[in-house]
Amino acid sequence: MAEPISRVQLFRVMVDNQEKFGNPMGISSKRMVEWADDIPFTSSSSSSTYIYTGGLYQMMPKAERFVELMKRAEESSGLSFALRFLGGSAASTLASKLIGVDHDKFERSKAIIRNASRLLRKSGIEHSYLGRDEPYTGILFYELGMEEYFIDVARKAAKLFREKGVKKLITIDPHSTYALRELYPDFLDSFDVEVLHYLEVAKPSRNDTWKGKATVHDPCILSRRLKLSSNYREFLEALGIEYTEPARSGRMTFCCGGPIESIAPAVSTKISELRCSQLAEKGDKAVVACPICLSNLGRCGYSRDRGGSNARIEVFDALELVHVG
Amino acid sequence: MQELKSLTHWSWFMLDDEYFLEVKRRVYSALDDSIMQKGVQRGMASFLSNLTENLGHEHVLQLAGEVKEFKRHSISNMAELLKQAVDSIQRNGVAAYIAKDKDDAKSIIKKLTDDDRIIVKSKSMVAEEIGLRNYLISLGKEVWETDLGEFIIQLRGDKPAQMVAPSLHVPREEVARLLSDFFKVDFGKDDLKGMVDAVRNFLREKIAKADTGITGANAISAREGALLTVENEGNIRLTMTLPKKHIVLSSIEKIVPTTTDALKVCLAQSYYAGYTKPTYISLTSTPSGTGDIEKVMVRPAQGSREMHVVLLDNGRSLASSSEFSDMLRCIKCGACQMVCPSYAVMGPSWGGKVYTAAIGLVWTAITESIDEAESLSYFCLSCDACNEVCPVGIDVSGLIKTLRKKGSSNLMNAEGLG
Repeated sequence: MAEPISRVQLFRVMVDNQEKFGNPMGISSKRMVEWADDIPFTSSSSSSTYIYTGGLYQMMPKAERFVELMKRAEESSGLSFALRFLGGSAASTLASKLIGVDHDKFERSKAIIRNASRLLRKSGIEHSYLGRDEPYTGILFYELGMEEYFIDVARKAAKLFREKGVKKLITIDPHSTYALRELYPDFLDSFDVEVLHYLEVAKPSRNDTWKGKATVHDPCILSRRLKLSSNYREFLEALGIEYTEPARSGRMTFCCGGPIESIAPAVSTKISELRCSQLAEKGDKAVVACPICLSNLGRCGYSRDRGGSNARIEVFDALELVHVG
Repeated sequence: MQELKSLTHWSWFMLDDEYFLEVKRRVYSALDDSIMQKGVQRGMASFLSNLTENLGHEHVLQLAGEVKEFKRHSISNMAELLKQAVDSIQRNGVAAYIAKDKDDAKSIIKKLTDDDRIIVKSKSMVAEEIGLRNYLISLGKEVWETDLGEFIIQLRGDKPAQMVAPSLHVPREEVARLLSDFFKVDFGKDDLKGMVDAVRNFLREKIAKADTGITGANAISAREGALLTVENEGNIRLTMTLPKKHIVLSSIEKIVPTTTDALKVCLAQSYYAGYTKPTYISLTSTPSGTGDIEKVMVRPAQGSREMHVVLLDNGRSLASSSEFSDMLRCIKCGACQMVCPSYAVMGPSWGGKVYTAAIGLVWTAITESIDEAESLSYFCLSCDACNEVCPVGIDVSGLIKTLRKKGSSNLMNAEGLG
């Protein structure tokens, strides 16, 4: 192992991206909203209920590349030297451009969000979308301990919701839900937007096109902070998915490793591999309900030849199992 | 020019983050240690099934709830309880000492053991905290750890991997190699009984010959000055009774109002450490004696002749009025460590010199170094598995986040970010 990357290199990239693009991974607003291209949203004035993507599904394919690059940098000193500059304020835009996005994974993310919106509509929940105006919650900054900066981002987001007349947000990932539901009211003077996770409101119908059993992986935030493990299972049951429980499940779930993927990619990967092997003990398919779990466990399952993992497991997001046709 | 400016700025910063990088290098190097991971992960798997069973019992949950409440109360009255405990201990004919830091504790124990040749110890995190074993060895004493796991740690010259199971990171293959070397006997890796027997025989002889036995305490009652320990091996009982002198080294946050409370701490510690019931809980409050001949008290009888209690502060009083005060409720059951995914892959490398993983990071901040703890905090997933199993309801991951917040805000300010 050559030279590990410091905290500040990472922080600088993320803060610069937030300032320039409105999200820590530097995804353009054009790409952020691509998923909604073929969905006719009602004009925002007619509804005060919005689907809120939080940008996480859109960001993860790029985050994956970014983490991969960091991992390579930490493994080889030559590349590491070059990447020192990745953290330089002038260079992060360049770095963002250098890091491409896996086309297939990005398309997959778009399909997941589309499914969420269609599922909500089928469940009778009319909603709008803020599109290019949709702000990022700032949750990553909070998790990295950059609390003051998080509050800054949160204030701006709350202001935007107010201006747009947002009364209710339907979220599609645990991290944004936690930020909006638990942290915003704590950290902001007044935040009275109602926040609901899709697992609390969607009414999926049986999907007979999906075959096989799935091991259910509880995302940590979903099960322990939002306490939605039983909603998650009811959702799978409504879909008619036969699921099995791994040794660590529900409120005792085992993390996918994702939360520290940027600060310590090598540690994160080891944890992902361990979780994948736990899930693989129960079958060759697993279901998750979080973009970070999907990315980390998914990648580990696919790259079974690398890093000593022998977990052969295919990972699906719960939103990929719904039938919205 | 702009590039150059940012480059110089950057180099200056690299120096500042060197501490974090050092910690990162250390935990990274542990990622390839498959022997350590084997030990830790095997231990975690069996712990999970034991704890799950224990948590299925209503009385276990109820007990934990009670402990949480009186520990909360005890910590907010720590200074008062300490005074009361010292009075009670002295009233029992036992010498009590308050040690404000590691050096203080060591010099007290040095004086108490000046004429001793052989000293036996039971496992104690507080003793690890002050580096007691090596200190006494450096004074020319023969010192033996009597807990099997800690004995393994002593032979390896290692630090404890976990609160309750210090040699968790040493799988059976490695233990067999170590003990075969030490005893010059060839143990097969599955000859667990043979290994345990050899250690038992060796240590029994040492305990019998020892001048002093040093133990810790899981809980101390303020009202009666009783010192309670919980164990399965039986080594603590021997260590505290066979040698003529018994020294208890414990810490001030272990004091609870009553002996019943202290007993509850011991039971809760055992359940949450993954045991269905403890094999031994020992209560000691005075040196041994007998009044059987005409009701005249004669000391010693079968147990120790003299007792000394050293109560270590080492940052705890300070912590009790800080944002880390909740942490002093900790009963060191180690459950939070045994469910932690980061610990599963980094093992004891993710920790300070003594305390590892999850709450160990906060203990490191209080008793050792806040800088070290800050850097370590970035390897926490904030997954809250620790909080889920903590018997006394400590927001462990929240405290770790407090550490990270300190680190990050220093960094952001230094860098002019945000």
